[in-house]
Amino acid sequence: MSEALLKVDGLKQHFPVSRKFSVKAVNGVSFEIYPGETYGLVGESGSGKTTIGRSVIRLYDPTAGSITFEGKEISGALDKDTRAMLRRDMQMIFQDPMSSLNPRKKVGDIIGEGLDIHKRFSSAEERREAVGAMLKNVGLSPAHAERYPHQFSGGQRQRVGIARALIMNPKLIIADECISALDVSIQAQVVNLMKDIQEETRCAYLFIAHDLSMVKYISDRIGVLHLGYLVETGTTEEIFSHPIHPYTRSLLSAVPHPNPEVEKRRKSVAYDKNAAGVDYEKGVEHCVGGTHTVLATPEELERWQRELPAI
Amino acid sequence: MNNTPYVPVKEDFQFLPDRDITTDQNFASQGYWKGVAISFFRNKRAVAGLVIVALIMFFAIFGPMMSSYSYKDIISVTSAEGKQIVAKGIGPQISGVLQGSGQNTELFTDHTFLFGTDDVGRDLWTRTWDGARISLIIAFVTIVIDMIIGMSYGLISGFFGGMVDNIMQRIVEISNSVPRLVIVSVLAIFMPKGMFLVIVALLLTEWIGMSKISRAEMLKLKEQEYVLASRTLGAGSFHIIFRQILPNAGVIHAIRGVNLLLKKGETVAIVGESGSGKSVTMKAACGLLDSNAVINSGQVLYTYAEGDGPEQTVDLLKLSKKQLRKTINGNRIAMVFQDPMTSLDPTMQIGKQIMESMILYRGMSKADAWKRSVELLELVGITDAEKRMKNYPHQLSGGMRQRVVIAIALSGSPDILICDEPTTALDVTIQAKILELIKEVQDRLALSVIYITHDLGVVAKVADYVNVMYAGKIVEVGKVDEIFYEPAHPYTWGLLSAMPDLDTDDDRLYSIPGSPPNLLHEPQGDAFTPRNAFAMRIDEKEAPPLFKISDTHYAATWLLHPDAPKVELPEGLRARLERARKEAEKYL
Amino acid sequence: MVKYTLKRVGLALLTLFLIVFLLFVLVRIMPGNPFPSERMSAEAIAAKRAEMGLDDPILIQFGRYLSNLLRGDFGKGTSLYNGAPIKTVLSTAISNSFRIGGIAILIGTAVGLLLGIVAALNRGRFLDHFCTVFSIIGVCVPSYVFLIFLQYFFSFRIPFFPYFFDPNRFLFSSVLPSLSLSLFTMSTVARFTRNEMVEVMDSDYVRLAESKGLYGSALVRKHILRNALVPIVTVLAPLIVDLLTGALVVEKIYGINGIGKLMVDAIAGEGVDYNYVLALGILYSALYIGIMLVVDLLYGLLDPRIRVSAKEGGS
Repeated sequence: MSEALLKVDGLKQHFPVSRKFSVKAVNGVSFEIYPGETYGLVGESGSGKTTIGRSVIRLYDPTAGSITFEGKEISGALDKDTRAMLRRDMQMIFQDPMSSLNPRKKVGDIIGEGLDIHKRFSSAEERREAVGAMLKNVGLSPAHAERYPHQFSGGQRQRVGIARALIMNPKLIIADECISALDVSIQAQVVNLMKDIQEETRCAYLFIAHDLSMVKYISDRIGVLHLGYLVETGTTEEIFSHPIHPYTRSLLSAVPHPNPEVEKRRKSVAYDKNAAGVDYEKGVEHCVGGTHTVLATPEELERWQRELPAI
Repeated sequence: MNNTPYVPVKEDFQFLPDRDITTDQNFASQGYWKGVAISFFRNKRAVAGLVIVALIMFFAIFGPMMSSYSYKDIISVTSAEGKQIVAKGIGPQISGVLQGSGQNTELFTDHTFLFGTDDVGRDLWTRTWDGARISLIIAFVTIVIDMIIGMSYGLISGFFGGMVDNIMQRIVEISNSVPRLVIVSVLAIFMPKGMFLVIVALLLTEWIGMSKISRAEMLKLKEQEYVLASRTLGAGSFHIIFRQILPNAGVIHAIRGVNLLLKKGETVAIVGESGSGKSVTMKAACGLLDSNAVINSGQVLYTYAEGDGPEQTVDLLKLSKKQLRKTINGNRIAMVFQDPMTSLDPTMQIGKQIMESMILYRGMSKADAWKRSVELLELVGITDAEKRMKNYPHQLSGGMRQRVVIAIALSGSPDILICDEPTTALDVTIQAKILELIKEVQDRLALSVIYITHDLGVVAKVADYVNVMYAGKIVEVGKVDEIFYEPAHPYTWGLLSAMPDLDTDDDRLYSIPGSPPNLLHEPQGDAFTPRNAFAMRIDEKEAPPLFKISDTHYAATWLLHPDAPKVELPEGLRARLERARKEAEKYL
Repeated sequence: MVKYTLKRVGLALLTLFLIVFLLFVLVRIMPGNPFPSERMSAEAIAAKRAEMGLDDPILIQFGRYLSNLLRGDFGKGTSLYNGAPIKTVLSTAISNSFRIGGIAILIGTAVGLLLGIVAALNRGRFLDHFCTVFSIIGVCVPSYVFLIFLQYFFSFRIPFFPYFFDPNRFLFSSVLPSLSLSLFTMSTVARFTRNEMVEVMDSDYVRLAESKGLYGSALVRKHILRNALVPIVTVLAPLIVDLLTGALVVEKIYGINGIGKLMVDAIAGEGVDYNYVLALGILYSALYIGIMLVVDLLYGLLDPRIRVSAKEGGS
């Protein structure tokens, strides 16, 4: 296996709200992303998934833990070179197509922003060509560079967001719920585009989402988050065919299947962490085969594995 | 819409050539400032205001020059006997030989003083504009300087946040607590009284208002995603942003002909994406549209029986708002809205919100209403119901709030429950529970339910019948099994293919190209044509009627016309439907 | 809620103390002569200065002033009213200004609310436009211009109300000034009420209430007004302070012995009467801070999100 592109180890992100109380958004999360693969981070509201994305790209300062990118430590103070490397090789696509583009700038300028900051091009002509090529790459036309964001639909704006991230030729793209705000048919368009881009450029994705079916479709490996803890992780196959953690199982059982006869007869499996007496702080990562790991105490692990297969 | 049905000819059924959809011309191409200018000048009051201000400024600057006398001159008239009388307090027209005082001793005859003279004999026109000039100078200087100071202060304070912001804001609060008059008087102690003193006093107080505004904007913007995006690109600076003003949209034809049928005890789903008109249809039926909505035509027929009385049918669109509220809303038809965070009144206890309609319109006593409300809360699965009655909405989680909204909907014992995307804003584990709850309640109380949603999974779980809407029209309707296992409309095919299910192993997800139309203009022909891979010439000319496939299954596509070419389902979809049918057979 | 109240009160007191100190220092160290130099000789001035302790170190002066202040003694004027104790002059002035201002606030708020509600309920129709235009005029026309207008029509043309203030016929002669003072408040409250109500009327929870079958006055009272009023309270605060302290021109025109007129008199002479400026400055600031505090607390009471913390009741 090649060197990990991104290695997150024991990441903690706490936000102090008052002197006594702080929001513990992320509590000791560890995972790795290899070049050219898609890692899906899945969880519901309050799971900390968006926080992880923003911590990795250093929009926040991590409270504890280490983040290594391309072999360099990026969780602490950044020197000029590391910062420049970070801002080039790691990019982010945001959730809200309405607010992620500056309404006052032309689309061409939005896409070219990264080039301008890092002074990638020497002449205006080169820059215009680069922007035009990128627009075509994402399925828009070079003429669109002269328009403003409000003149586009949601799906098209998301494409602009992708173009903006792509033009820097990053090694890792963090997609933070970037399709949640779109219509179903448009989601498919954007996801297809992302897959095509990955084939072409071999970039890696950290795909943060709450829609399990879409995550399964696009990801090679998956991490399941609950209340700031990574409760289970493994390849897509491993997670979906034999999930072990009760939260993962309840999540999977809650996803509706578009098959009426089947779906009408299914009942979702409930999981109440407190009622089940599970304390994530006591859990330890156990490897249950291949890359499949579960956060549990030894007793819990044994109990849960006995309860298979439930789905 | 035509009255005589269109009779298609053979050429109509040729497929349209491949079209390039990416460069759709749906949106106006117009710059930002141009848009601002257009919406400004379209507003008559704005233009009037601008004209008045311009006029005043014009006169303030040029007014005194237009008159022959300065504001200090005392004007006197030479009377017939040759005596000089000061023209005190005289109206516009002064005849005779006029002369000013001081340096202006020129003689004028029969002058018109538009504003007359004051009681000392000075020309009021010049005095007015001279005074105006002074005021304008003061205002201008103060505003310009204070805007720069205030805005910078607020932007800096908001941008840095933390300790810097705290200190800067304390200073603002203290400065704000000293009224302007006090500052003027303190300044008056050592400054000579005059225009300069006023300017300084204003400068010291006006900046506060500006700083508050710019700080608020900065705080909002720091979290805006495009600012974050700039940071991830490495930008160090921050942009000054103005609130966006979009030009007026015009008329949107949201619903263009919808027929819907709901029978007792049934669950009907209306599926569509944004712009399909699904929410608006139901809101129109219940009289809950925004005040600027206009219903052009159509009927919503509701048949019900009052207690043991006879059945009566009423057209909901013909009822007045008052009648609707009294007899229908809450009582017979209740709604559950999408966002539980905003559906509940934040200042009222939830118990009261449930009891409200019971007390007001069903004449229940407070004690009875209380009991019934507690029962309802228990019915929707809220524990500790008695205690919860006194809670406020912000004390409950999203899932619990939605349960309360359902309890409120049930409080009037309605026949029909309309759920508008009831679970879209909730986590998927909570979604499952809420859907199961609604089903439970429906069975227990023999309700009919209409679901409005974009999620096919939800539809599969709850619906008996499905209506698929696109661009304000119903394009396919049928039993849920018919829609999911034997869909007939290309849009439905697209929707089903675009959803990955847990069994999809495809390399590529099929997606419908393009995006939904924005309905500012009524589309000609079939609205789905631009995105329809199976579009034919006739789709551009004439909108298809609903073709019958079975007693329960209809689709509005020309592909079902007997003369149309036979079309195969896309391979990916066909395989998927095969799989789905096989799985379903295990249960049938 | 208790923590909220204590924090607010503490902050208010601290701010007030700081302002008193600042004002005091500013007034005392300003160059210039508080005494009318033409009327007094150099020795008389020096004697007066010693009497008032104006040559002692600043902090001692402040301490003395503060202890007097806490007993309600503002000292004596330096030039106005021949050195009469400020306290007595101030109390008559306050009673006049506050009573007239109070009536103005009541009229302004009541009528303003009414106009705003009517405008919101008739959104887009004639009444709405009428109220909006009225509000705009009311905000733009200064109170003293309106007063002169009223004087012209109701004292001159129709000789009913008095031209000037008469303390012996208090209520009758306060009609015109309070009416003119109330105009700005009325218009601001009307505009604000209308906008807040319209925003609330478009919200999801009002839509839900309608779908429950609520309509008419019940809907307005129970849901729309209650939510719309909460932010209106914050707007009222500066308006009230303005009314109580900023009525100077009206007071001068109508001959009311109020605190506005007092302030003007203190500055308008050739020398400025320091002690009055100081006393009035403290009064104004205390008023402002006090009213903001009351409004803050009221806000906390009205909005259950502040009053009841989210943690109670659990989720």
